[in-house]
Amino acid sequence: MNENVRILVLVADDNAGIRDTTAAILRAVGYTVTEASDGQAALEEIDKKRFDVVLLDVQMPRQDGIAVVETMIDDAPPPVIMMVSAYDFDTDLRHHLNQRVFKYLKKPVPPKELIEAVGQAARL
Amino acid sequence: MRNNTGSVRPLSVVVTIIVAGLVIVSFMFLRHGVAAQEQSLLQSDTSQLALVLNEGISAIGAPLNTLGQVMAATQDSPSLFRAQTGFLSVSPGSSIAVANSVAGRYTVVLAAGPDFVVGQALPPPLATAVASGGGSLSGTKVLHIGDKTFLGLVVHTNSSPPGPVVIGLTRITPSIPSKSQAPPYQQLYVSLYASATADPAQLISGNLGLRPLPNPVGNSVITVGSSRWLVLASAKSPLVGTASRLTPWVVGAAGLVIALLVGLTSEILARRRRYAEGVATERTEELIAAQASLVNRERLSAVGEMATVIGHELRNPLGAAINLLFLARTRLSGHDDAELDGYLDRLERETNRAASLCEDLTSYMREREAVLIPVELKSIVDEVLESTPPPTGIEVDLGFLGVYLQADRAQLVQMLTNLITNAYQAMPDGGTLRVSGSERDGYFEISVEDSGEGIDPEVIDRLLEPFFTTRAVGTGLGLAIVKRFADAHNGTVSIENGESGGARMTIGLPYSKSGVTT
Repeated sequence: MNENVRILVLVADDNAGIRDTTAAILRAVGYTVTEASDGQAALEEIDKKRFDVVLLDVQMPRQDGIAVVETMIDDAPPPVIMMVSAYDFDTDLRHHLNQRVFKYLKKPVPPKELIEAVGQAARL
Repeated sequence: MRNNTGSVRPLSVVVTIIVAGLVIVSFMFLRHGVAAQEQSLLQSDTSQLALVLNEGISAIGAPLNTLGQVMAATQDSPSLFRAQTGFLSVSPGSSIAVANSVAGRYTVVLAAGPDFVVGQALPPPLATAVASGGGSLSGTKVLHIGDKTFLGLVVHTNSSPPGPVVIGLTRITPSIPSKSQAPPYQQLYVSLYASATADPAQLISGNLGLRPLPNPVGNSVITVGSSRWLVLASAKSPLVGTASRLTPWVVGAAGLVIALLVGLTSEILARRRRYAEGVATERTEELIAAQASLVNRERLSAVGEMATVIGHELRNPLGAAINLLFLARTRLSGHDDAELDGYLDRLERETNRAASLCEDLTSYMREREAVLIPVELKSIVDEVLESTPPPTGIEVDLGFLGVYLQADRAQLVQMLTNLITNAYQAMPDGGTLRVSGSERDGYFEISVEDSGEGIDPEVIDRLLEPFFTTRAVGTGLGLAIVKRFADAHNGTVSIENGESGGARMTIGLPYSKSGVTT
């Protein structure tokens, strides 16, 4: 757990219920979690801190998850990005984001799968 | 389909019967008219014939009368008798005699011709005829004397009674048809009777012999002295002429043809009208059906859209609920309340079930064309088995899957996930999952077979219907999604029980070796 405290995770989702509970689960396993309610807020947080893992909902107001990925592409060193969506990730999107996205998760993400995925990302 | 055969319309039958009835009445009326005309002409001819016959008989009777008067005046002078009978030019079949009555018996005193001998007594039938005759001239009945048949004309002279009688006797053969072709025998069949009625025994002559005359028959009575003779006649060919005789038949035949044509026309018009009505009805039904289909599609589309939105929107609260449940379990870890654990287990199951229903519903309802790209089947199957690993006790047996298919990757993953999950659920006590492929008739068939108890054959046909399920858990959409996605690939889905007794579900996707480019 102590190791996890040093891992900074950003959870960006416009749905407060999902965002809060996801953050709570990750905090419960020790991560230091920041929340963002839309793409613009996520980018502002990314400007302020160097995150290890970023969980991005695809559909968000202001800037969506894809735009966030495209904007932060020049950041160095880049955080490990995971995309979350209620819809299927179609082949074109996967291809487009192939270089930057570590994992695609489909909503609702089972908590165990979430913890495991973030754990994998944090170890990269 | 419209049926334009079938039975004849009652109206056509009625029309035909009415017209045919009118034709038959006209036919009868015409025929009666022609027959009446024929009878009238025949009667006229018969009357004329009677006149001719009467004149003929009078021509024979007049010299006999003269002879009677001469014999009475000359006390039966033989020389005058010979002179007179020679003058009469007695024909070979005729004989003439003068007879006197002595003591009530007539004895021949003068004779000419083969049938009288001077001094002979008149034979009984002739004697009876002579005795019953009266007046200056009378005809006898037909007389049978010996083996011969005669007809006689008798003249009673007016000298002191019973004065001498002059008898003209002619042999006749009534049973032999007369061969005379002289008018009127050319056109008529004639029978002449020595009586006022058509008594065959009294037939004098006829060109049909004793045979009866064909109908119609005209009749007339001629008077020979005090006797009345009957003349009957019928026409050899119709007197009204062929055209008149055929008129009723021509009218009848033409009328019946017209009746049939009228009936047929009525029938054709009725059928055409019914056909037109049928077409109109059919088109109307098609329009109504099309409209209903459109309304139904719009309704389904609206329902589908709503289902998709609800399914999507429910994911977030369900996701939050799943997360909260996880947090609650974490917080409660280490307690020893078994009942609470049971509640939480149940809450987790029900929440997961709601989540999978949302997932299935959005998958099923989403209208998306299959985006076909070359995919390697084996790697897809491996990916599915990795994301949905077999539960404990289930072995996986993979057959030939080394092909590239043109398929929508996400849809193929979803189809295989659903089929494999189904197979796991069919083997709660463990077993073998077999996934294999083979090419057949332009399709590549991927079979997923379990070693469970198999499917009740009665429900096999319904398994692909949405919301149909035989399990206590499950949304009933898994196989419906497989069917929908297979359809999007122009593929097939079949369900059967395999040789091992378990269920075998097969997806067939269009396939050609040359058509897949990697």
